[in-house]
Amino acid sequence: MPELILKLGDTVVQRYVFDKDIISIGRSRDNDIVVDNLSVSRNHARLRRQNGKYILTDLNSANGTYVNNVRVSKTEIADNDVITLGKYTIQFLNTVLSDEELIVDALGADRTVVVERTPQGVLAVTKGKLAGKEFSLTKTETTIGKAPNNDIVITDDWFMSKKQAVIRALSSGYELQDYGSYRKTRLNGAPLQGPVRLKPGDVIEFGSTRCEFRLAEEPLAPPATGRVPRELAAEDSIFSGVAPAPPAAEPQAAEFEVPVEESPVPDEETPEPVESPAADAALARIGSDEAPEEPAEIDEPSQPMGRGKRHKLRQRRGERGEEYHTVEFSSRGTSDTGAQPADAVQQALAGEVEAQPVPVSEAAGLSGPAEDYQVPHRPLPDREQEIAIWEKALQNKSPLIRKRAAEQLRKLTGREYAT
Amino acid sequence: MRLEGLNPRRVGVFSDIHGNLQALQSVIQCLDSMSVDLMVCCGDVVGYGANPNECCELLRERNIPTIAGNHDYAALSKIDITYFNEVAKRAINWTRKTLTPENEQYLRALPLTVELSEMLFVHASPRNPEAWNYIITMGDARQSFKHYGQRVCFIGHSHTPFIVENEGGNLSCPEKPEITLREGCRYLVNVGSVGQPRDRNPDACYCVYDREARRLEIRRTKYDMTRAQDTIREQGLPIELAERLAYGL
Repeated sequence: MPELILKLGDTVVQRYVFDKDIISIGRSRDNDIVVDNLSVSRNHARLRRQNGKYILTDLNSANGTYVNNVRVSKTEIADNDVITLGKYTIQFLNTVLSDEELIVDALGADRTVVVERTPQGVLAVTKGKLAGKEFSLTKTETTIGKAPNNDIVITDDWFMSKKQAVIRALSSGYELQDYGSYRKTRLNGAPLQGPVRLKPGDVIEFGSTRCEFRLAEEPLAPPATGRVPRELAAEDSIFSGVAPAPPAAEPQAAEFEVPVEESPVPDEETPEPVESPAADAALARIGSDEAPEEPAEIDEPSQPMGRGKRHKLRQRRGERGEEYHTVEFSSRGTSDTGAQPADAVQQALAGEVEAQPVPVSEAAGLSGPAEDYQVPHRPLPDREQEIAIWEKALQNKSPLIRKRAAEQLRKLTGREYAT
Repeated sequence: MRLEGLNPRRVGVFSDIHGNLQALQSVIQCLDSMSVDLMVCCGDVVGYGANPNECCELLRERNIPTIAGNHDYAALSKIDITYFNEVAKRAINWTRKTLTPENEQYLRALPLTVELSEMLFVHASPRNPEAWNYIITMGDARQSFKHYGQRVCFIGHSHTPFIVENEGGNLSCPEKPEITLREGCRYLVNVGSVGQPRDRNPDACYCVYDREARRLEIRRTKYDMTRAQDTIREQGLPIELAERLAYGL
């Protein structure tokens, strides 16, 4: 089942996992992937699954469709290809989904996709050696400090700590946190206490360097990448005329797009859905192995790729940037006790566990300090959200999903629902 | 099982190692560097991964209190694996053959819960640890809060980290990976998975609870995944088990 990651610059706008044969992309609300931006045509492109392959077709869009920065009209796309539409990119990942994810995904069945444009945060240095410089906050965590392993390295500042502060990109904005630095990071003149949400225009002082937090209007240019797509034969193509050129620096001004409905592509390519027995079995399992009140033990995965029912199972917010980076751990606080707790634990376990002399950690040869970091996680859906999701799923085309929705709703509300 | 006589300042909690030695080593290394006073493992030491014996031995060597998970039970034939899918079944059958008698005995002795002052550790859900129910919605979380009295309950099982805060019946699930415990609130913390994360982040996941600073943190670390994958392939385990590690699925 492919995953599509919609990005604006390096910021993940939304992640999608579809299990259907035709995925439509465009600005108009009735598309599967709605990109609410004028650089994208109403019906911009279409991704079609055909014998386990994915064919991308440009629907005569104003700004064109690019795969790995080559303009295409119709091409097969592969894992990790990057599709560019106007200012947005969509990364295509052909991944496998576990049963357990399917349960969670079923919760997202038919959820309306509203793409919100997440503006890019920028840190502009206004005072200090780097005055005039701007840093785009494209990563999930951007660290600031004197040490060279920071994302923003500011040397020549006496009051800058090696690790001064971090700016985290959350799903709905940015957050600044001090790293317990020598001279505390100040926000609008006040020293930071704990993490704080940033607003545009906020003045941040790191050491004696002053910066302003802004939101960028223009996204970053898409990165040039990998595989060169092969254009499919002209007779296969709905629109012939291939222009294999890299995307122009400025996409054609979208403001001039003629306000006339783009002619819908003839629907001859939409066959009647053929249900896959494997997927039906998987969904049936989800539906049947249910414990009375809590979701059942559904131990394990693997819907084979490119099979399954053609229902939209999930859209997920891009809480996490595709390229998360590691943040070197620095021990906070002082650990002055040299006491090894092992003995105490041993006693506590009261001989239930016998100590083994095999030094596995050494034998396996750990090399270098392990780096760790933190990322936001996805919150659990609450009851209202869950009810809303399942109520929507009652309208689903699939009788299996409707049945599952009715069951869930009965559990949640105690009432009977017609499928 | 109740742990007596311990008063750790900082506790490292992790779960669902699933025989992934490289990930476990990386997590223990991180926790060591954070000077935790106690580590607790919330179960599923084996199943899926290719180093079940080594994982058991590392936990035994470090005297890490460990809880039994459903895969540990399955490997000991304590539960029926009819409802496991094919890949999981094959992995469990392989694990059954591979486990040494000592490690089998070790797993057999694992308790279903561990209690330590304000903390409860359980693999799946506090309501009925042996039912292995998943907590995947706020409703499930709400049910769970009714079944334990401790302030903080650490779980694993779903391989997806989260923190749920219960303020007098009002539940919230902050997205942030790091929170400060508030007076009068109780917590349910899923510490994610060490050896097979399924939240689309392939890096090993664990939790640090600083009792003194009253902070809970969910942290991630990279590990030698290539080696873990190679071992899975070398041992003739289903190839999907190696592949999924890279996707965090």
